[in-house]
Amino acid sequence: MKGRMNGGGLRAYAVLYLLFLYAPIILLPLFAFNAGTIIAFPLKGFTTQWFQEMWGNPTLRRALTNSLTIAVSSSILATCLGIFAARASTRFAFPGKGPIMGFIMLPMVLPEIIVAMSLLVVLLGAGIELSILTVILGHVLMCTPYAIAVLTTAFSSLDKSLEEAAFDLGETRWGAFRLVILPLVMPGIISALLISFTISLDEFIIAFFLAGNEPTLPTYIFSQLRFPKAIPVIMALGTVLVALSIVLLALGEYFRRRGNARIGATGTGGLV
Amino acid sequence: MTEDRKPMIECTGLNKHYGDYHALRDIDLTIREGEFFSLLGPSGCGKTTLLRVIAGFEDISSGAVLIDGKRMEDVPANKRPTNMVFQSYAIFPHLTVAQNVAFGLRRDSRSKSEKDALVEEALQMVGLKGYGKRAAHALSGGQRQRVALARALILKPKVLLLDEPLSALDRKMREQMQVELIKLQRQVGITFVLVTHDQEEALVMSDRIAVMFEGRIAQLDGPEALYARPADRRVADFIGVMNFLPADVTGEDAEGNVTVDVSGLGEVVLPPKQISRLTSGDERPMVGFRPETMTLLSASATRSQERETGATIDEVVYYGDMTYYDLRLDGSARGDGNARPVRISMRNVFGREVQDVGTRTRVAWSPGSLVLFR
Amino acid sequence: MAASRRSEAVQGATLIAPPLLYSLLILAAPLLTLLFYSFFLLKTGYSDLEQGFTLENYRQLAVDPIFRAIMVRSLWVSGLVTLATVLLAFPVAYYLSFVVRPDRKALWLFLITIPFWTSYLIRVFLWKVIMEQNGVINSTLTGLGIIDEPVTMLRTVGAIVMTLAHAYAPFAILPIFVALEKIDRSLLEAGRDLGESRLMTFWRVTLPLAMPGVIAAVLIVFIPTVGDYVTPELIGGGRIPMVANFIQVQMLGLNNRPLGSAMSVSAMLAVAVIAGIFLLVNLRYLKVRQ
Ligand SMILES: Nc1ncnc2c1ncn2[C@@H]1O[C@H](COP(=O)(O)OP(=O)(O)OP(=O)(O)O)[C@@H](O)[C@H]1O
Ligand SMILES: [Mg+2]
Repeated sequence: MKGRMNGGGLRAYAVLYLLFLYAPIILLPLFAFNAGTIIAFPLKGFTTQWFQEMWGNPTLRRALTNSLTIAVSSSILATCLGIFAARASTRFAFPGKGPIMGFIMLPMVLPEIIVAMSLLVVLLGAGIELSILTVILGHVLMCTPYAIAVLTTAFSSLDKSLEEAAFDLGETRWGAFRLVILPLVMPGIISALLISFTISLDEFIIAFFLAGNEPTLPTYIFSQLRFPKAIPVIMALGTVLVALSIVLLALGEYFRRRGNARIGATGTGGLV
Repeated sequence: MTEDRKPMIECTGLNKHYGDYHALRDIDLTIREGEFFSLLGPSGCGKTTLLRVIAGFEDISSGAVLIDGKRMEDVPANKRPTNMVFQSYAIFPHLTVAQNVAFGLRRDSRSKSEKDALVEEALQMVGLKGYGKRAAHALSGGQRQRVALARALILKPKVLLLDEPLSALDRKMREQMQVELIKLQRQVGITFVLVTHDQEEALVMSDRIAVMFEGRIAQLDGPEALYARPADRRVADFIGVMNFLPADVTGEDAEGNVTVDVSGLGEVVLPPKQISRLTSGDERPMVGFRPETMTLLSASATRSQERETGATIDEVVYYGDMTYYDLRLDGSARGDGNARPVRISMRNVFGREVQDVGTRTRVAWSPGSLVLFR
Repeated sequence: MAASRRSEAVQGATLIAPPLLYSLLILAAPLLTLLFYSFFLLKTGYSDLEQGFTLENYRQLAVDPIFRAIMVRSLWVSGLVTLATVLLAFPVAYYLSFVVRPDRKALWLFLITIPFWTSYLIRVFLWKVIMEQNGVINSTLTGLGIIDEPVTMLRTVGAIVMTLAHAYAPFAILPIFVALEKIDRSLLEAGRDLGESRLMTFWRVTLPLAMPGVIAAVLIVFIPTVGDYVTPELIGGGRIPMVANFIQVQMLGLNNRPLGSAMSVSAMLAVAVIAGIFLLVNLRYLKVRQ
């Protein structure tokens, strides 16, 4: 029964590890609803004051509008680019495929500061004014690789003969894509949209350097961290952001799985 | 039977390269209207490639494809009068059975109710009446196969192309579908081109069969001719079981009748129609015969019209309806010390006893069933 | 679809063109500009560049003890983070792959990836709040009477390492998990069958086969952490800057873009060289796979 013991020990470790992963996040709601102004135990009582303050803050509202604008545009653009790339890489052989795909996926590992700085240098050099538009440029670059990763799994699980069958039955190429491929990868597309949206919503470095004077939610948070009085509101805001991210991801996962179930496929994959 | 019909598919001088790989070599082929035609060959010989060339999914390096007399080089797959049943069936998993079957009618100008009637008719034809509302991804293999057939046939193509349509089914289902496919083909009268690597399937189903090796057509014939008189030794080996005995050519007359001395069988004279080619790599001429063309004579049998040879039973394999015997023919060891035994098959009819290993026996055979490969 | 190799290449190239162009424009061009800038000097007192191609920026960096110290610290911290992350992650990945029931794996993976998708900034900030002088840990410990004086945790290398290790955990687990999943289970049984102990099987079969995942994990954690900006800023309190913070100061604070560019290029080179050496050393594990 050594095996059991082994599994048990590992299991305890894995649970501890999960606790470690979640420890900071669990604090968020605790202190977001805590009446005290400093983030320390013991808790002082329940309040929704911080959420009300948050809602009443005009800069924060502006940051929210900006963040949403950026996240929506970036996720749509990144997903579109991702569809092109995923389709190209799963369906066609073309010269230089490996290096090209590697290059497009590079932002996944490149330190963001390098991306932000180099882009900043070029934008300033070209005399382009910083705005949420420039942030979108950067976010699309950051989100595309993740969209590609999700979409590639979706596209590659498709049997090539499905498309050929549609073509054989008299559809045009575009018709075959629209009537067969697109519906079948739609869950992957939704999943890619949600993930890109989440990444963009939470992204700090690029927004920090490329937004000019426009606040986004993360840069707003960063700017408030110096003021101890603002911390509870930040906690409230953080709670909302994290909750939103989790909901979006759960939705993304749901769509991915539903898509799999629909075409009778199984397996994990997804973000992995 | 179909000799007089007009040609439906004509391939002339067809070549196909994948980079350096020469996948189809000088294919010349005519398939006639209403024919059930099979492409048969081992894995990788280019059957699928040829089918996809006909369907329009692959470009060719040289040569021409004509369908119903029209050149096809500028006609894409979606405009060709062919439809395909894919090996994986390619059933659209997000649609219902009826939507799958109706897929090709989308660009048709007929009214909704007319289309529905066509779909219903097509489903009935393949034995799936009432399945229209089912989700396609929840069907069994055999049902998918039928949906794929209905989906292709509803468009009334001139040619139906089938790429190993039965290989994913279990044995029982496969045999049942073979019969259904033949019936269906007779019913609709459409030219069927079937790709298969299963020689039995090809023999059962086809009017004519093209046997392919390494991108070439090695023989194009009806099932009986293919079986009885394979054009070369590789075809003989690929189709059914054939025994080979080393032979020496001792003479040839003006009409082409060849006298050979066959190891274990003695001297025979074979007319030209019983003479085929060897395959490169073979060193000496051989004479081949099928297992069922040699008969084990029971001890009591006295004479036959055919020739007889003494033999020893080496091995007995009992199959219920049949028994296979591996025999060592008397005198077959001549020349090369340990000649391989030959295999013959006997139907286990009432009153015929299965013989034991080691029994001395006699076999009867006829020169008419021999094929000389030289 | 009527696909000769040529037309297939053309279709593929047409499809890949938009994302590729985008990456060329928004990633490659800026990186090249950075490289270009690094070979020029700033006119004293101006924001434009002096004439002439020069290696002066790189020479300056090579002899600058502060830059060297910061670079070394960045690499050192990243190394520690990588080591901690991968060591802590391996057992979890192993547990996921070998112990968890197949139908539960997706759930575990989802649980592990969720924190990764929540705002990195907020997670770092939370660690700050936790480790602060009057923060969660200290208030708890003093409240319970375990300590009298608050313990200083922030502004230490240890705090930075811990925060980063937490942030990059899923990055390490996922590639190792994928590599472990690919291992043919019958190989392990074969090992056991040949009389090897569990530990020996692990050493001689599992670990070598998991190495591609471990190597990927190391690179995926190491490369971005070297360039991390937020953690040194918040947890290090600006006292323990890493190379990203230094670059930012050069670029924006001191407005010396050429020197900042040279720093960026040097940092990327250093990381690339280290990653390259690491890959070379482990090449044999990657070859086994094919
Ligand atoms: N797209 C391609 N690129 C390169 N080579 C190919 C391609 N398609 C097929 N081939 C090669 O051409 C040869 C013939 O392939 P084909 O699919 O026609 O074989 P097949 O006779 O259908 O075999 P099977 O019975 O296994 O299906 C094979 O050796 C195959 O490797
Ligand atoms: Mg094939």
